[in-house]
Amino acid sequence: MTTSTTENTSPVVLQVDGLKTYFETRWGTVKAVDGVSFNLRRGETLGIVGESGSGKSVTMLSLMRLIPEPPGRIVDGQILLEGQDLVQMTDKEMSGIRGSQIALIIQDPMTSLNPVFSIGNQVGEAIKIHQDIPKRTVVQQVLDVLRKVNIPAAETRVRDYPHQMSGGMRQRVVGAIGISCEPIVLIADEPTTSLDVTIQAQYLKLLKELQEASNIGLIFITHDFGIVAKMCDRVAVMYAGRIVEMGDVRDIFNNPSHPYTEALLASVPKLEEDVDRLYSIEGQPPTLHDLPTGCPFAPRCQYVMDKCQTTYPTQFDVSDSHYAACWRLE
Amino acid sequence: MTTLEANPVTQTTNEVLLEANGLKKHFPVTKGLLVSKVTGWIKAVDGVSFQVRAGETLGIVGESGCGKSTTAKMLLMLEEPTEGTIEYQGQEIHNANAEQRRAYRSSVQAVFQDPWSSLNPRMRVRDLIAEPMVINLNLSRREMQDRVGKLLNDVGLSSYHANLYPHEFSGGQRQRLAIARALSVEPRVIVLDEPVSALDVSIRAQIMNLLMDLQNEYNVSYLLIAHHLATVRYMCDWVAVMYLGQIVEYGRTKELFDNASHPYTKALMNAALPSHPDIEQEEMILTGEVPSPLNPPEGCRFHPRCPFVMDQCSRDIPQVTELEPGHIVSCHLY
Amino acid sequence: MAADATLVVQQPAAPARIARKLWQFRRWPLIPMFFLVLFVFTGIFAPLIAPHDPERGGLRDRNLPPAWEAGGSSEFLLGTDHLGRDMLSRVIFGARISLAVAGVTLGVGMVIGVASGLIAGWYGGWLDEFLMRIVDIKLAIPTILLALVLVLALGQSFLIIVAILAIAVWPRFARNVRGEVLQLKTMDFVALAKVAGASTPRILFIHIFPGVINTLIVLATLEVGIVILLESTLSFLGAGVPPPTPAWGSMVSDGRDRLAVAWWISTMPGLAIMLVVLSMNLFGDWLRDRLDPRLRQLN
Ligand SMILES: Nc1ncnc2c1ncn2[C@@H]1O[C@H](COP(=O)(O)OP(=O)(O)O)[C@@H](O)[C@H]1O
Ligand SMILES: Nc1ncnc2c1ncn2[C@@H]1O[C@H](COP(=O)(O)OP(=O)(O)O)[C@@H](O)[C@H]1O
Ligand code: SF4
Ligand code: SF4
Ligand SMILES: [Mg+2]
Ligand SMILES: [Mg+2]
Repeated sequence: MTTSTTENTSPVVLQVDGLKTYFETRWGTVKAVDGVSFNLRRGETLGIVGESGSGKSVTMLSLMRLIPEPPGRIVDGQILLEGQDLVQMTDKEMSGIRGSQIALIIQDPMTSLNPVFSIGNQVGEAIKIHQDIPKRTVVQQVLDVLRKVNIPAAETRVRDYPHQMSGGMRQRVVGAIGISCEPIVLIADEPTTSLDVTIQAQYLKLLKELQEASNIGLIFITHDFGIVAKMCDRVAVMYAGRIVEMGDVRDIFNNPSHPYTEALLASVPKLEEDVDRLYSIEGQPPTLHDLPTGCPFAPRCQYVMDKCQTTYPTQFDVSDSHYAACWRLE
Repeated sequence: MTTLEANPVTQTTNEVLLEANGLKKHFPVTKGLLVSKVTGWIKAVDGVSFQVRAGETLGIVGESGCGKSTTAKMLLMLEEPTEGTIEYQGQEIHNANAEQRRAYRSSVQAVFQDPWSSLNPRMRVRDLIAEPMVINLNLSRREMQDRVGKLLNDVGLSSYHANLYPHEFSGGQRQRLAIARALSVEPRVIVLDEPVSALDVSIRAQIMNLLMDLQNEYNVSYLLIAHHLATVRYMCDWVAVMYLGQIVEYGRTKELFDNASHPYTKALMNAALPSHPDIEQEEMILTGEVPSPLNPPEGCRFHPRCPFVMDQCSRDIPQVTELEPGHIVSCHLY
Repeated sequence: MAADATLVVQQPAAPARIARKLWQFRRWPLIPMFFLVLFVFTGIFAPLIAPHDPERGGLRDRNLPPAWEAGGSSEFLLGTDHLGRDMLSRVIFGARISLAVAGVTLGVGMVIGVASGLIAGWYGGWLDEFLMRIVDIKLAIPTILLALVLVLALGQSFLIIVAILAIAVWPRFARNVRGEVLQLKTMDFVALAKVAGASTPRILFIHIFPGVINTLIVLATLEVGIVILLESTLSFLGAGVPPPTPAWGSMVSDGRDRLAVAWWISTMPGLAIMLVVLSMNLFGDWLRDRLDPRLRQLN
């Protein structure tokens, strides 16, 4: 799949094909996710980048089968987790898989723990939901997982309440809950947006360590290309519910082939060098219930052509591990 | 509390417009239901000095809670300083007479972070933008209307927007409206408190570029508060790095980014995200969190987290050292 | 998607358009609104509508039943009372009293409540503490009891009744307005108004007050029912607007000994009270949900 030097040949654990998730609203059908396909290997980090409203969270909720129904519905597509199609599963089957094989970290790690339960309790709860095991074993597993995330003196700290722990420790507990059932795929939906830079750096490092230690497939959802640069092996850029460009992280940064990716990268100030003037993308992100025909980026695109107004661009390969959906590549 | 050393000596020719000297803000912590007793002080800002020069931008960076917004509020006269002075064109403002305070108010305007909270949802754009003019200037309706139209054009909107209400605009457009309002009385200084943090990524560059264009056009100075170092590097001429209510390093942007000296500045730079996957960063991840400003650490406030901590750091408050003309740092290493 | 968009732009046929217009009103409380409009209208134009003088009757016409009952006369549609006065005219003039009392009371109560709420919320500190304790005390005393004591002490007149009822309604306004102000004053636009040099009155009236108007409207509609009930209760107890003015409450009271022989004397004004209060509450609930759903936790 990848051509870079660090070629990942591990088995594909998650394969998403033509996923479409629509919402019926009073403005009409919102095609929040409209034909998204990608796959994920063990030990790989896939970044999903895009602005707010581009469909990142809905993609993630679809993978977890957590779309509120109604108004939402997975209209089409397959989500194959180690060969089994999550879209076809009953709710009951799905609740056995959710959290145990495919897990999720959404919120800010500093606030997502319940203040009235001890941390042992909260990690134990996450384990008990999915495994029917005796209490003694649960306690043992809680200690194991706390040690795995490097919480010192786990035996005594299991009885602590969140407020008795430092922020770094709390992050570790949230991480521990995420991996407590040894998931195959872990999804992190903007877990660091509300954090300060130094705390964010700590948390990103922890997530990376956890992933490497357990060889998990990690999907990192963000709007920040900096996080992508730091964390990800491959990147999918989303715009208006579709993936407009996908490739190895270096391909995306060195050779952005979709005008949106190119513009976004050029519009972010750099820490390492002086930039005279940032590229500024005109206009606003589109509203999904009122998309133009043709390329949804056309109203903001500096390379727009006649064809772009009428027909949605098909995918063009830039290299065998890099494609973009833009008529310029035709 | 005028620490002479704290005033960076510089070679620039631009006049100093606004100057803070040993500015402090301590909030009382009270206890008790009926008769409240002060049990401690939150030292939100604890002795900061800086200068805003004509037509230039001073950036203040630091993690949340380090006192950036409180500093801004003191400059905007929304909070009374506990100690220290603010001088505008050489005139101390908190003890000035009513006329001078009035003049100061219309010379220093502000744009805040949250574009949803900073525009009154029940006022039309026309009245929102005109409000500072209505209060401070003596203009006819006609002149006012013309100026609103011009301001809307200057911030990239059009005059027909004047009749709409704020909720009819997107976040980026609302921030443009807030900027137009701040510019309406042609202030000399605008305090920008995290002006792009709440916006979509693709909109941030629009607003940053707009602010820089308007700076040239209106010859206005900015005090830009941000937590994102790259934003500061892009927009500012001067940078002050704050930690727990104090400025730990201060200098010209280029100098400061090329020769970051204070361990906290270095840590911030290392923690900041790279702009390319091939950029190797030094591993210097700080442990722990920012301590509470209620009981800041003794000696150097950064010492519990500092990788270069020495014996004296927990004892003695570091002096301000001038490394280069205009580049100052307060750390025992220098 | 584009096809849908063009469909919306096309003008639908006339019947469809009318149907759509009507469909918009499906959730409106049309029946309550009809009764309220009727109430206000009759209250204002009572002298023009009422077929007879409400305060004078002929002894020959005593206790006549409503027109549809045996022995009823088409001259007195709702019958007459024990003094031969026309019930319909009395109910119509009763609406006038209720409307006047409710209107003036709410006006006065609202002004006091809004003013103290604005001051308490904006200035805070001991002023806030003081005003809110008064509100607490007021809300802890049963209104009827307070009213009876005051009427005994001060006498019975329209003005006194209005004053008593205003005392009864202002605390709720004060408390809600204060809560709203506490929230509004933390908004950035208030800080920015200060930065622009706005004076405190300007901030209070231009930036804060418009933000509490929705709450006020909702609260007022909910309070109208309470005021009308209170006024009727006071009249019923003989502590209301003094006779012979036809207040609904005193009319109910007049008829209560004659329920067996002339049920209509109590029932007609009683029905009027019920209809108005119920309509007001239904309308108020609907308005609250539309304008200010947060108020749902109250009351
Ligand atoms: N429950 C819902 N009902 C209706 N529309 C929704 C719902 N959840 C999300 N959407 C729509 O789906 C689109 C994508 O949202 P989301 O995936 O949350 O974006 P983001 O990329 O910021 O995570 C948005 O336009 C949003 O309005
Ligand atoms: N009105 C206040 N009362 C008490 N503490 C306050 C008040 N305003 C700010 N603080 C405290 O002062 C510190 C600095 O706050 P702030 O200036 O908002 O930081 P920043 O803008 O850098 O994030 C924080 O610890 C905050 O909790
Ligand atoms: S398809 Fe056309 S409008 Fe869309 S990104 Fe490519 S060039 Fe721009
Ligand atoms: S004074 Fe000491 S503790 Fe403080 S920053 Fe310098 S070296 Fe670190
Ligand atoms: Mg999201
Ligand atoms: Mg702040």
